[in-house]
Amino acid sequence: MVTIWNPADEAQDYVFTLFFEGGHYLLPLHLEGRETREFNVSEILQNQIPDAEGNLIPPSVHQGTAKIMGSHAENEYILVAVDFGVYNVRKATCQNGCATCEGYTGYDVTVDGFAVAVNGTQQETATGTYETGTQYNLTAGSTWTSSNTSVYTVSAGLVKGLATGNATTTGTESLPVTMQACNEQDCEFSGFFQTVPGVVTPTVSFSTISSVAVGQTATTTATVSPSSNAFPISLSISSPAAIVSPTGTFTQTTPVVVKGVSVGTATITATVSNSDGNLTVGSTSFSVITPPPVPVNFDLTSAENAGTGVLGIFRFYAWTSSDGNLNDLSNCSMRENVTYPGSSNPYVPSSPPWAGGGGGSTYPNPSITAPSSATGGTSEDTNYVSNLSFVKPYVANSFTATQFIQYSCSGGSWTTIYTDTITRSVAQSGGNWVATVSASDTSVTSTYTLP
Amino acid sequence: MLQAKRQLSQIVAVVSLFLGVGAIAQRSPPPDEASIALEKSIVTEHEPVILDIRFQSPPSTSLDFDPGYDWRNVWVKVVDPSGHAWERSPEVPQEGMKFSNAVHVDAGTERTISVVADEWFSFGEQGLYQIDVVLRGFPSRVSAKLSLRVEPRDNDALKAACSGLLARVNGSESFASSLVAAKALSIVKDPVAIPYLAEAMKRREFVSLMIGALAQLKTNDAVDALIEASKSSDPETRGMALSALVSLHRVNER
Repeated sequence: MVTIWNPADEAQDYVFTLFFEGGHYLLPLHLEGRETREFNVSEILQNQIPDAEGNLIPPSVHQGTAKIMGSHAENEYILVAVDFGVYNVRKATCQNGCATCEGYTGYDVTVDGFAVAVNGTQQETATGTYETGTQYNLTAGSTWTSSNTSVYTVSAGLVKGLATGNATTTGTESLPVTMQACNEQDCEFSGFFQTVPGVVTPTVSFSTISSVAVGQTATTTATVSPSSNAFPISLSISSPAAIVSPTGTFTQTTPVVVKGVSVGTATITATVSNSDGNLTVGSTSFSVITPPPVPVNFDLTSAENAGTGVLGIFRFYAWTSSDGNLNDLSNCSMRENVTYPGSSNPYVPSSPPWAGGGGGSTYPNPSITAPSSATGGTSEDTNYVSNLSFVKPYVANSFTATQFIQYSCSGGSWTTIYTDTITRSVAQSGGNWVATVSASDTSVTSTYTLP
Repeated sequence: MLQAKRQLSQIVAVVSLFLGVGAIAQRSPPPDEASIALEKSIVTEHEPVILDIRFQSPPSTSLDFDPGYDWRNVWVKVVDPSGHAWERSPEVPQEGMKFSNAVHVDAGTERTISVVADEWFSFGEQGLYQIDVVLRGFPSRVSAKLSLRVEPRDNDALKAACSGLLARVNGSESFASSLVAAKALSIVKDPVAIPYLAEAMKRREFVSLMIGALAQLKTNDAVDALIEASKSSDPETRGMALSALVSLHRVNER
């Protein structure tokens, strides 16, 4: 027997809920002011009338609990007086009393298994589970505390990562900490919490560029730390130099090629953009210097043939230093590099009569002279056939050799400063066989009538 | 015709010498502004002989000297231990580019040019050599009488000489100085030079010089060094080494 009394002056709507193993049953009650209602649970069981949700209490149920609440919400304020008695027809006994308290039976905070990045945020939620099983969001009403505020802070469930657990390492290192959210004194909850450096601001270090000459390039390596960086990094450079590559942003360690523009000191600056604006994450400076002198203006000054009865031409050349002082070419060398048609080495003319040709019947391909100092400023090129023993029968033929005049300064690569070609040919002319040596940079030729 | 031209130029040079007209030098250095000396007056057999010509310009005037292509303006006579006198053989035109060794000595500075005398003469006989040197083109006679003693081959001394030359190849302030050391090293006709030649080959400018020297030595160690060079990552070194090996193979076939 259950007795419900509405002690208020106005009417109230209640819901009397019977809980049993495997379900519940809702019994709505409308009581006018100061009205009393009595009913037997056994009658409800016997009637087998579905409630508003279609629930029935199985006839096999003999025990359970009950709760009364407002019809609008579990936590609605109501005014009610309840009394009930239990009568055991077999034992003829009865008892009175309140069985349980009303309220929350559990609290949860979604902290397990998640991590927040340094400078990142993560909204946590505190959830209270009511006795009825309904869950309520208690985030705003809870008190949030951090057990290590140097690692993270938390306010109204909003967690902000501040640092990794170990400042000297990056990536996977983390420091376990606990989080508590409390709504009532007895609802403490501890969770496992990690902070990971997912958004660590990168740093960029540059390998040293001692100097770069105007017009020349140099390479420095921009080393990005941490290697897991995902922030786009931009480069800028001051005016004495320019960046050749990279042309856009980068996230990982990359070579940076710079080119000297004018004499001065240039600075490369690496920046990233974040919520605070552009942040400088690395820089390096280097000198842009006057380029070291190199041989320039190599050109023919005169030419002459070797005279009658011999086959050869002599050509004379001169050059200067880019700074006007030949002595400043003391670290430069020069050489002649001659290549012959095709890739065969040695080169063999396709047919006689060049058996006695300059250097013999074959020519090293390429033919490279020993280097000489570049400070002299003049040179003489001889294309001379010293042994005029041509092979019969004569066959008309011609072949060319390409001459490259090259310099190297301070052990650098060979740079071609002048190119010309030498042509050696044999042809019939006026009933005679004539050998000719000529060059592309002069009209001076040498001819020799073969015997 | 060519020979006539060459002879004529030599005559002009000699006449200039007697007339006191500097045909080549822009300003004629008095004797105390040019000096000639051997780097070492005592060498061991196979050790190169280096001749130094030192110019010292006065404070207010620069000085120029052109030794000519093939150093024709440096006249040298050598009397060997047997008493035979040798002069450089007459110039024969040879295929290829020759670069001037002309020097300009700024006012108040000094400069030394060097030449490896072994390029012109053989010092293969042990004993005392007399070397006369005259710089052509100066109205004031600039000359020197030098003595050279070639002692029996000393392996350690030869190694030390090669080591010193290699250090000069890599450590000289000017390319000309490195080149003289490289030429001297390349002219050591002794297997003891092989590792030094191979080391000097690492300097890009001297690859052809060193490969040529190794090819002339023809020993197994020299061939091994050439084979090693033929595996170089530098295509130019590789090509020259292969060319030298091909050349040696032909020599052996003969």
